[in-house]
Parts: sequence; C-alpha cells; structure tokens
Amino acid sequence: MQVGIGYNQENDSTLAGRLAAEQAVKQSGEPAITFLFSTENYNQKLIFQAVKRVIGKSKLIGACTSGIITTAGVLEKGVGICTISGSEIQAVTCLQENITLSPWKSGEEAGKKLRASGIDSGTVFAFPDGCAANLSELLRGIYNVLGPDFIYIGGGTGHNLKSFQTYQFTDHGIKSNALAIALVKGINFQIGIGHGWHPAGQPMVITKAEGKKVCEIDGLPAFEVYSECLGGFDKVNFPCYGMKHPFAIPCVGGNFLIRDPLEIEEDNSITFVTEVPQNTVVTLMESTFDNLITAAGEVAKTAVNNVKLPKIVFLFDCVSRYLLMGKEFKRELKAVMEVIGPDIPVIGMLTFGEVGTFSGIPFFHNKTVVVAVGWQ
Amino acid sequence: MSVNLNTFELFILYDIASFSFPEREEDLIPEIIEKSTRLFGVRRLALITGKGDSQKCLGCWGFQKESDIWRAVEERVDNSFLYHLEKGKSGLLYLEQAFALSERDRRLYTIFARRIEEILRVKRLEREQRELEKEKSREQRLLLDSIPIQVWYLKDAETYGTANKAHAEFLGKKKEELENKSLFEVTSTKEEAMAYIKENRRVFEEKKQIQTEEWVYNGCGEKRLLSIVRTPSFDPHGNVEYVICSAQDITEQKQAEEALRESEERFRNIYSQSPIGIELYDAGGQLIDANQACLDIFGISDIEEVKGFKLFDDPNIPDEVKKKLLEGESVRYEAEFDFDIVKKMALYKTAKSGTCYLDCLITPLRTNEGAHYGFMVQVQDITERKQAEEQIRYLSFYDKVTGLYNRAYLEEELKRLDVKRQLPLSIILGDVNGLKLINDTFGHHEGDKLLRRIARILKNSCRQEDIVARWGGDEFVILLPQTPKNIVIEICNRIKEACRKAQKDPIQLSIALGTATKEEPGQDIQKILREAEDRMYRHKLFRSKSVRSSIISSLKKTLQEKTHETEEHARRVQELALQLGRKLKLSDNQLDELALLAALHDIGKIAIPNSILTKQDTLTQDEWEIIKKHTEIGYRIAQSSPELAHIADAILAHHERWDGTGYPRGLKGEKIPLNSRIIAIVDTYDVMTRGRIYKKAISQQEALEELNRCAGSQFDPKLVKLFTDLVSEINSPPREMSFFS
Repeated sequence: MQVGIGYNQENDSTLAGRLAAEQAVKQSGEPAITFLFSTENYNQKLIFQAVKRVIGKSKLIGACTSGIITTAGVLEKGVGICTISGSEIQAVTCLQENITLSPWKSGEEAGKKLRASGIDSGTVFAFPDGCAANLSELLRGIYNVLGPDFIYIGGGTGHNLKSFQTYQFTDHGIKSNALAIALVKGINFQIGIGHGWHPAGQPMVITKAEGKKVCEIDGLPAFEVYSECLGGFDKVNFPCYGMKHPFAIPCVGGNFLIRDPLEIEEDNSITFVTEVPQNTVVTLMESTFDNLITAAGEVAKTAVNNVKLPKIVFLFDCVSRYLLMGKEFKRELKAVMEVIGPDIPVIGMLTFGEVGTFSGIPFFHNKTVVVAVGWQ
Repeated sequence: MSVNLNTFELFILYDIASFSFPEREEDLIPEIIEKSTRLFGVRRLALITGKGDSQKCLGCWGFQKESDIWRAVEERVDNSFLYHLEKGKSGLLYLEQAFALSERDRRLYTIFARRIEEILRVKRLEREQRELEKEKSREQRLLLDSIPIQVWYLKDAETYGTANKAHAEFLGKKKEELENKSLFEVTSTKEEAMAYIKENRRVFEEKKQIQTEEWVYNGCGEKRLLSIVRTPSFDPHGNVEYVICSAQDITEQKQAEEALRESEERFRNIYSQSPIGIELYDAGGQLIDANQACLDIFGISDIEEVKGFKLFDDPNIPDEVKKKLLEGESVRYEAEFDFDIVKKMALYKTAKSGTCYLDCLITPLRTNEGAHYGFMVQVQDITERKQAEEQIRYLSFYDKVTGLYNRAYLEEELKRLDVKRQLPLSIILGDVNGLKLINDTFGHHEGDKLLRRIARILKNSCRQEDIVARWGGDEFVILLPQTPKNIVIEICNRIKEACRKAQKDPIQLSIALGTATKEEPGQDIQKILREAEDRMYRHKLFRSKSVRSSIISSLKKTLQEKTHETEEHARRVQELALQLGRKLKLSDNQLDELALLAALHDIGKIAIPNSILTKQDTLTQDEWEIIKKHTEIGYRIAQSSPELAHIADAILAHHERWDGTGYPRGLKGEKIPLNSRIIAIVDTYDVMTRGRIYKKAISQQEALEELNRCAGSQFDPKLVKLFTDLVSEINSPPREMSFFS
C-alpha cells in the first residue's frame, strides 16, 4: 500500500486540481482510491475533471470544504488530494443524490449499492452534504444495510457560513444535496473521536422540534430557555453565544453528541447544524480552548494508539471549532500533529458535521474532531 | 466521560422518560432506534409484536433479513437483551450491543423496554378504543344509513359535511358526491340552493333549532314535501360550529292528512246534514254531541242544553235494551217516546210534548283493538210511518167504506172459529138490494152511504162475539160462533125490521139474507157458506121484482117531492100521450110503453140537486149541463130494471129535437124514438097549459100556437099537426085521463 498526498493552491481550478493530483499520484502510484478535498472558492467541476484525468480509473471520493487540513495547517483555498494504491485495496463508491428527500431510504440505497460490490468489511467514508436534512437518519439508513462489520468515518461537506452551496464528489460525478460514500477494504483504520465540551447545566427536554429547528425546550420557546440558561441576552448577540455554548445530547458510553446552534428564528426557535430529535434530553455545554485542544490531542492519541505502522491519517475537524478558535486553531492542529508525528501523511478537511462511531455505531457529530489512522 | 456514571444515568433515564406517543405503533420504531443506538450503542434491534403465530416484526435495525432476527432471538448471545412485553402477551424487544451486557446495561435496558412496553400498551388500548369507536362509528354509520330518515350535517350555510344514504338517495346521488360539497354543486338550480341556504343561515344566525316544511325536488325531479329539523352544534365559544339536519318526506302523509281532513269534513257534513238523528256518547254513556236532525226530533233548540245527558238515564229506553248495551251488543228497536216523561223528569228542555214513535239503533263504539270508547245512537221519527202501518194494518183487516172487517179477516176468522168448541157455527150472508141503482143514479158516494147504513144495522143487530164483515161489493157475511139456528133467525128478523124502519134516503133499505149452520165437526164450512149464499140468492130472486118496484116507486115518490110535479100531471101527460098514440094507431104494447114512458121519462131528475131543479132564476151554463144529465141518469135507472129497460132509450131521447139540436145525442128527425117525440109534445103542452112555479099557465090556443111554431125545429111537425088536431077535437076543458095502472 502506498499513500500519496498532494496540495495545490493555484488559482486556476484545473491547474490546481491537476497539480495536486499529480503530486499525490507521484507518491502513491496509480491509486485504487483517491480522496479529493477542494475549497469552495474553485470551479469544482474543473477540479474534478482535472483530477480525474490524472487518477485514471481510481475510485474517487471527495468533498467541497471550507478548509483543507494539511500538516502545514488549514488551507482556506486549495485542492488536497490523497491517493492510496495497493493491489489489496478494494474500493467502491456511490454518489447518492437527493438525500434530503428521504434520508433513511437514501442511506439504505447507498448501503445496498456498496454491499452489492461484495465487499463485506472495511471502512466506509461518508461525505454527505452538510446542509442536507437529517444526516443522523442517513447514517442509520446506511448502517441498517451495512451493519456493524464496517468502520464509519467522514464528515459533512460544508461551507464557512458565508455561502450555502457545497459539493460532493465521487468518480461518478459532482453533486450537491448528495452523499459521496466509499467502501474501502484493504486498509485498517482506527478512530479517535472527541470534542472537549462539558455539560454546564441541568438536563432539559426538547419538547418540540422540527428537523434541525428546535421550537421548544421544556415546553417553552427554545431561545428563551437558551438565553435564560446563559444569563439572558438579545437575539442580536446570539452568534457570539451560540458558537461558545452548544447543546449536547447524551450518547452511549457517557458521551455527548454536540449540537451546534446555528441561528435564531423569528418565532424564537433555534436552528441547529444537525437535527435534534424531539423528546431528547439536552444539556448546555461549555469549554475552553485549552479543553478543546486537549481533547483534540486525546482524540489523536486514541486513533494512533497501538497502531504500529500508520500509513495515513485522516483528520476531520469541525469548521465551527476553526471559526471559534480562530488563530488558536493552530494549537489544536499542533496537538494532533504532535501525537501523529511528522512522518505520517495527514490530510483532512474542515467539516460541517462529523461522521464517527461510538461503540461501532455511526453518529453525526458537531463541533467534534475525528481522527482516523489507517494502516495495512 | 465528562460526567460521572450516575449523573449520566440520570440523563439516560430522563431521555427514556421522554419517549413520544406517536399516532401509530410503527412510528415508534425510528425513535426506538435513535434512542437505543444513541443511549446504549445498540447495534441491532428488533421489536416484535403479537403473540404466537400472530407475531410480526414491527420494526428492526441492523438486520439484513427477517430470518436473522428470529435466529438472533433464539440464539440469545451474551451481548443481547430480550424483553417479553407484557410477559409475552404483546411481543418482545430484542436489543444487541457490541459488548457483553453488564448489570447496569440490563437494568437500563429493562427500564427502556418497560417504557416501550408502557407506550405499546397505551397504544394498544388506544387502538382498541379507536377500533371500538370505529366500530361504533361504523355501526352509527350503518345505523344512519339504514334509517329512512334523511340525516346530514352542514359545515356552514352553504356546505355539506356528510350525509347518510337516505339523503343521498333522495337527491339521486351517492354519499361521496355530497361530502364537503357546496349546495350549489348538489342542487339542480341556483334557486333551489338559495332556498336551502336561506333556512340554513337562519340556524347559524339565530343559534337555535328550527323546524320547517319545505317543498323540494328529489333526484327524479319530483316535488316532495320534507319536514326538516335543523339543530345547531356549538363550539366552546358558543358559536355554531355545524348544523345537524334531519328530514322526513311527508308528501304522502300531508296528502293523507288532507284527504283525512276532507274525509272528516265530508263526514262532518254528512253527520250534521243527515236526516237521521245521530247522538254520540262517551264510554260512560254521557252525551258528547248530537246532530241537527237529532235535535229536531227531540225538540231541542241548543245542543248545550242537553250535553251531559246520560243515555242510561233515558226512561224511554227499555230496560232490556240498556241491559244489552251494557253487555256490548248493538240494539235496534222501535218504541214510543214520551216527551211528557222527559219534561216531568226535567231531563232536558224540549219544545215537544205528547208521544212520537222512534226507530232507534244504538251501537257501542270500539277502537280497532276492541276497546270500548262510546256509543252511537241513530234515531228516526217514524210516527207517520207507524200511523201508515196502522192504517195499512187496519185496511188489511177492515173495510174502508163500512168500517167492518174485510173478507181477508173474515176468512182468517172462519178458519179460527171452525173448531169443535165453536159449534154450532152459523153464517148469515146478506146482499144489499138496489146498490147498483143507487150508484148509477146518485153516484158511488150515495152507494157507500147505503152500505154504511146497512153495516150499522148489521153491527147493531149482532152480538159482541159475532164477526160482521163486508164480503165484497154489496155482500156481507156474519159469523156467529156457538149460535144455533133459532138465534140466527132472530138476528135476521132484527136486521129486516131495522131496515124497514130505516129512513128512505133516498130509497128504502133492503137486504136479502141467507143463513146456514155448521152443527157437526165433520161438515165442510165452505159448503155451509155456499148454503147460506144459495139461500140468500133464492130470497133475493123471489123478492127481486117487488124490491125493484119498491125501489122505483120510492124513486118516483122522491122525485115528485123534489120537483113538485104532481101525480095529476103525470096522469094528464100519460092520457094525452095515449090519445096521441091511439091517433097514431099504435099497438097495445106500444101504448103500454108510451104510458110507462109518460110516468118515468123524468126519473133521472132524482139525481139532480134541488137547488138547480127549483131555481127560479135563469140557469147558468154549468147548471144547464147538470140538468141535461137527467136523461142519461134516467136511462141508467131504466136499464137497471128489467121491467123498465125497454123504455130506457126513449127516456134518454125525450129531450132530443126534431132538427137535431137536442140532447144528449143530437138525434134528428125520425131517429128520435117515436115515444120520445110524443112525450116531448105532450109534456110541453101540459106544462104550458098548467104552469109552473116559475111560469104562469097559458091558454090551449097559445100553447098550440107555440107547438106549431116549434114544429119542425123542436117537435116532429107531423106529430104536432096530429096533436093540434087532437086537441081541437076534444077542444073542451081537459077531461080526466085514465091512468095506466
């Protein structure tokens, strides 16, 4: 197994794509599977086409992102390619369209397509459109078909909150509102996942929710409760509070799934990045940068733990952590890189929600760091 | 872990407690999957509902195929948890995680499963309740659809909610075609819809139940009358939320009511205008109503005066009738009604008094079920009919003319008395003499008078127990039970003596009697009767001539008394007639006829009223006509007697004139019998020369001149010539004529 990593920040989309791909292929050789991450400020189609020309028959999976994570840091503009070659590598991809329409069914269909390849174990890379509806449901649909014999990692393709168009790639094409999913066998992955947020208040119940919009908490308008929990503030100040005080829902093993509030609506409901199911218990979360950074380091350690010869590290870090920490984000990356070490190829992206498993079950996370270390 | 286990467990428990209660059980599955995977890391789960063979997988997650589920349930690996819902009665929950279950896991899974169990139980109860309600609703729909009454509800004044089958069918539509439709879409015309809407609006506005009768068109285009009740249903704010309508087609009912009303009116008219009196009583016999005919029969002016009168207090109703009525029988009877008793007992005010005869029919009135609710009395005043019946009864046994029993009664009595204990049974049979002569002469009323006089004599001459009857015509029969012959003869003698003594008016009463007696039981009574008849006829024959002579002499005498014509005039006329006859060389027979004619030619005047005969003033035309009839009457009298029959024609013609202008037949010339021509001359000459009360006598010469003047017109000229010569020959004071004796 050979891994190649390529980055390019040329302004020309085609050039950037080609050069990044060539750089990666040069290291790996003809890839069996190619991971493509491009920032949203390119012509994705041109990049896709350029990369495709370089990688040949390789399976491709990729996402449009607000930032590509490299060992050098976050590229807010650029194209990042990871190619993996090896005769033992089996890969199959699927670009499932219109996932918002029926997420569960879309997940099942994607799962069926992957299962149809005959690959019975491995790692599932899932890059859904981060803006699509009910990605948790989508993951459950995929799992309902594929089951516990796979490892699930990935992240939502997204934006930097400045634009709302994002793309998903596979060798089948480029789409929005889709799921780019790949099943790769022949590489082992170990996952680390964590966020560093801690419960800061008493449990509350989401008494009314509609998809990503939470209308009521404990029977009261969501914003009123949220505001009260934080000592009271005006809607206009929400962005400041929302970034720092997410909600979390309990998850297996004493964990919490973070749910990132995105905006306040006219009716005092709060729209989140990811669905918060009705009748779920939530709690307000808080943290410090240090805790966040420490958590990221712990995640890396978990991922790397006992892996003797890691060949590749994927890093999916939530864009909101990046936006929250700003310049301090470098420290998070550094904490991860220090654990991983300089010799192992690393590639990742700022995600709009993260795909990772607790106890083998894929969940969709917010404000979380996922590190996947692959070896053969 | 950022919180300790116990705290985290609280989160889990809180999350478990926050399960939703979705509409359907199936909708619980996504939440079960979400919570179980998130809270417990469940990697496979299955929810089985039902029991035994009816078990089915309500939902699963992580299983590729259903058979994997049953295998996992059976195998029960260490990392799985199986919970039997409601102890297996309603299914099971299978949960599988990645690692072996700890006690904590089991405890939490149990709490989780129990929560699901509770939800499912509630869902099941809800489902059962819903099914019950659905069944109830279905039953209600079936019930609503099975009833003939139209039922529908309105969402607003213009819009249907739903309707039952009856209403849909009435409109010729299916139920679905009415559901949630506007009235404008359902009705044929806008006007029809507006009519419905107008009434609908009233309910919505007035917020109260309204009942109307409306003519509407059904699906077949027929106009039908519906009785519609619109009932509002209110929301919590008191506004009309919807209106429930029900309707019945009362077209036939209305028509029937109208027909009934008309029928009742007809009946009322019949009742009030019936000529038969009708009274209506309640079950207790108290008068409720009576029609006008009844009031008239009983002389009551106002029904109010008699209302409340008790049927069973009426003394005029026989007790046996009352008894039958109380036993429930109808009774018809005829009885006398006494108004005086009514007044005496002050039962009610009546204008009538005395008695009348009533035909009553009293009928107990019953419902169709047989319950007695009153009496009806139909009454007719049959007083006149009763009198007529009495009259008929009387006439059936009594002779109208004489008042004696009639033949029919006599024959019945004959049968009755023809028994041994009534012997000797005697019969007197009588025949009145001269009845025909009297009838012909004076008319039948005089004949009837004759019969009545005879009847009185017979009745007075007999005993109480004797049966006196008019046999027929001028014959009478007397039955004398237990009467021997000698008593019979005595009775006959009494009868004859009474007749002899009776006044001649106009003739002497005379009756021929014949008797016979049945003495032995073996004798045939009819033979006895014939025996009496034979004897009567023999007697009659023997006496006939003398009787007739007696009758005619009696008539002559009466005539003389009436007309004041003397016997001398009769003799003179007879003498002159004979002399003229001799001059004419008539035979002796002719001369006998002439003499008889001279005596009886004016016999017919016996029947002319005295007032006309003796009138001194000029007679009126009618009086002349009456006078003229004496020739015909005289003719009939002569015809009635064999001894006088041969002069009947001459009597009839004695006022004929030679020129044919006489009477009664207008005979002319020698067609007038010779004797009539002779009598005409002689009688006129004697009257002129002797005078009358109303006219002075004239001389013979003047009389002869008058005769000659009238010769050829009134008188036979030849006979006048001869008579003139005759008188001239004798030309001496008139000498006594020899009478025909």
